[in-house]
Amino acid sequence: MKIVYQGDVTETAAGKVAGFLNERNIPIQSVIAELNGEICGGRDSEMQLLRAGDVLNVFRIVAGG
Amino acid sequence: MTANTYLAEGERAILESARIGVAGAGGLGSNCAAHLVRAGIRRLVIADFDTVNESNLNRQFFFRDQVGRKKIDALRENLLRIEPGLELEMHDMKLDSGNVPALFADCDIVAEAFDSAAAKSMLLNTLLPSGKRVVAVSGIAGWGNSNAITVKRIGTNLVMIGDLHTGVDPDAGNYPASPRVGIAAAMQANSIIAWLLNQKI
Repeated sequence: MKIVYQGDVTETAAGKVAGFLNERNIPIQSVIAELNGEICGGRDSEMQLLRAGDVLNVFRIVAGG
Repeated sequence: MTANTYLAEGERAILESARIGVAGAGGLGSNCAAHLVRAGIRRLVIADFDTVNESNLNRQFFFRDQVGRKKIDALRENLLRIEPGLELEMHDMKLDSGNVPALFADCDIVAEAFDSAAAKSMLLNTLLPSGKRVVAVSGIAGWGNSNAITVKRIGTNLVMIGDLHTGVDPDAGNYPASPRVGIAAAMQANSIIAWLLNQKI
């Protein structure tokens, strides 16, 4: 299945957002995900299904303040 | 009255009636709050459990004679020096997913102003699903790369400021310092004001 990840067409076998992040060794709690223009974070990412053509953007949360 | 004499009457009414939450009163929170007050915000809900210490003075809106005091008490004092008529609700508490929703329930927008990535994540994952508008920061440590600090609208209710990369990492020489933290805090306040006034963030 192909999705658009960070602006690039990307092949994935993951069925859920959390699985996609896991494929790339990205800890769920270290990012905010936006799927098709909607925020999808924390437990939502574990539940949220991925479909072909989805647009997924991931934003890192790093320390500092 | 507000500290901002340049506001049009309609803008003044919007900003004076808004209630803004500030989660954390450190480098981001103390400076963001000061910008908000100078811009015309009068009602703030601010929470922090920490005390002012020497290492905070490189970037936070506190002064040397305030070292050792609770940040919420020192910040209240400093904000009231800008605008005595503020309505400040200050909470000496550590925020978690259990107390955040009620604390900021009546706030129009919440500024995420934590230091740790885990706390930032907690706040976002707690508030965003409810639709609460949040202006958060990620990636402001170190020096230089001013143009890498951007404002991103994510989904419908999150604005994220920072380079999304440069975290505090003493081993890499990346520590929080006034210029980049101050830029981000000002951009937070700027985004909050624009969002309230329905202007381009």
